[in-house]
Amino acid sequence: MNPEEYLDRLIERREHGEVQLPVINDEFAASLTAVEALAHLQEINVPPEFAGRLELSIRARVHIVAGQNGRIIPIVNHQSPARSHRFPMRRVSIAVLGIAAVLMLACIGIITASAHSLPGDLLYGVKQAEHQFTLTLADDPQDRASAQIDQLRNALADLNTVVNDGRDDDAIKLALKTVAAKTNDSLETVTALPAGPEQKAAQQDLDSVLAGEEQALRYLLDRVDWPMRVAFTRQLGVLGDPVPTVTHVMVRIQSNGTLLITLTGTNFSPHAELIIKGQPVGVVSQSTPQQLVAVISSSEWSRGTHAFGVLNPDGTAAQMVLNGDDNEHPEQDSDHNRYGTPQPTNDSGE
Amino acid sequence: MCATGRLATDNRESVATTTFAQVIRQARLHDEEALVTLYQRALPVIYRYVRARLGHSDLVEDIVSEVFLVMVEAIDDLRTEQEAGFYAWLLQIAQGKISRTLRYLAHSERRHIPLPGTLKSGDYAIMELKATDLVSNPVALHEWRETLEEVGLALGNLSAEQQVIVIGRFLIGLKIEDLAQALGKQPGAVRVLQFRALKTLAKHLGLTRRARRKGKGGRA
Repeated sequence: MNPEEYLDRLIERREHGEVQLPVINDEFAASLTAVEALAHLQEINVPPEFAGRLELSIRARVHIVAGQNGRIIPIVNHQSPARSHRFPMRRVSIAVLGIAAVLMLACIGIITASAHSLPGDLLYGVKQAEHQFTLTLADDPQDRASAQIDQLRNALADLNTVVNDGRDDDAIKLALKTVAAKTNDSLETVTALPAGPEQKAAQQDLDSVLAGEEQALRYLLDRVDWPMRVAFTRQLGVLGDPVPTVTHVMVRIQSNGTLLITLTGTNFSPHAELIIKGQPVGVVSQSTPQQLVAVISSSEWSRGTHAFGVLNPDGTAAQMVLNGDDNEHPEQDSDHNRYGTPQPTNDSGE
Repeated sequence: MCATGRLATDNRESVATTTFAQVIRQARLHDEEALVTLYQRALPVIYRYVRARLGHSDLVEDIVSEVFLVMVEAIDDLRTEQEAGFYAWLLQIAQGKISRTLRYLAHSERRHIPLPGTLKSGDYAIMELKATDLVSNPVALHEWRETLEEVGLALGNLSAEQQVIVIGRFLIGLKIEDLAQALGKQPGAVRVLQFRALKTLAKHLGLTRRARRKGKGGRA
């Protein structure tokens, strides 16, 4: 038996827990130890949230690829058997058919290309229209629910891509808006299905996609800027996650010249930070689930509109924007809210 | 430690009700569930392999994602219907992407493939640990990380074919004969490649010298 076979036999015997053969030299012993070292790779576990996200992307990609293949329409050569005296008429017909074929091919090309388009791309509108068309054609409520869920999956994959590609906020905003709309539509459609096994199956499918949506949004929180973070948090709230909200802001000048800022709202976490104009500022002196009190120096305060936000350690965030006319001169030591009616704003631009 | 006893794949029974060839055939028709089954089956292996080679978790996820998205788009190109052939194909895709990434990182002078003891953060390693008892044991965790990094670097010293054989044999649990069929070689030739691969691994892991020292010490 040659050394290669002998080593393989040693390995196999170890694998199957059989009686050991003698290890004849140091090189063999070292090779067996290398096999044991390789076993350490088995201890690496795949992060489940990554696995879930990737499965979602794969499913969306399968739909795109399958859709493209399904749209390949064979071009049939319609040659009339009657070659005749009707030649001028036939010529016109051929021209019309030719134009129609070119237009059809152009449409197919645009639709195919639009399948790859992302929010912010020129052809994204075509993709949306195609989705709408698909829904309109679905007569059966079950098919409609299924199409809605597929489109939500697709929208999530698009959102993931636009964020990871580092596209601008307008594209991300549009992608998130599409996800939000598809989420609502899917929920409505599935809820409206008549009770029964089909409704149960659709609900399970939707639950799985919504779980994926939650994972994706939480994962993407750290990859977007402040306004998008607030918008992503809001969508997490729609999904039922306990996310922070800001309902009231109060700013007071203290006798030592510093400003005391009190944010009132919900779901503030311990170690939450005060954010003004997208930047963490001040020192938080008190934090409860409903209230965050922070002190900032007067140098951190400037004239104009102020966006007061809260950032929880898990990355979720909320904010309220106060109009610049109202808050240029905070009142000294006043308990009165100087800022009239603060306007919670939606930085996603919705 | 009886390493080889633990070398079976995680999801080998997941395709129990149908043959692997049937799943591949369905996947070629872009059947969603078939493709997802292949993904679920291969993910642990590909993730561990890429993680070992690159170390850096951000890049690992990017590359693993790319490998599986290529799988979806290029499944038509897969000629074999054998499990070993499928894994060899995926590993080759992963190798190409890893090589490009390493070249890019070297080029941009931002290469941060962790050398032993320089892993960026413990957080990822802890998250990825299967053996949770290590998390509460800092010494064991440190040793595990070091070994993992050494194995990853040592793997990089093998030829692409040797890597496929070593991963196929010891991470997936494939037989020499199956690997031989997947690679279009005789089983004997695969055994030779395996023998050389393990020798190279042992050398780069410093095991040969250690074994010799141990041998001499034992005899003294």
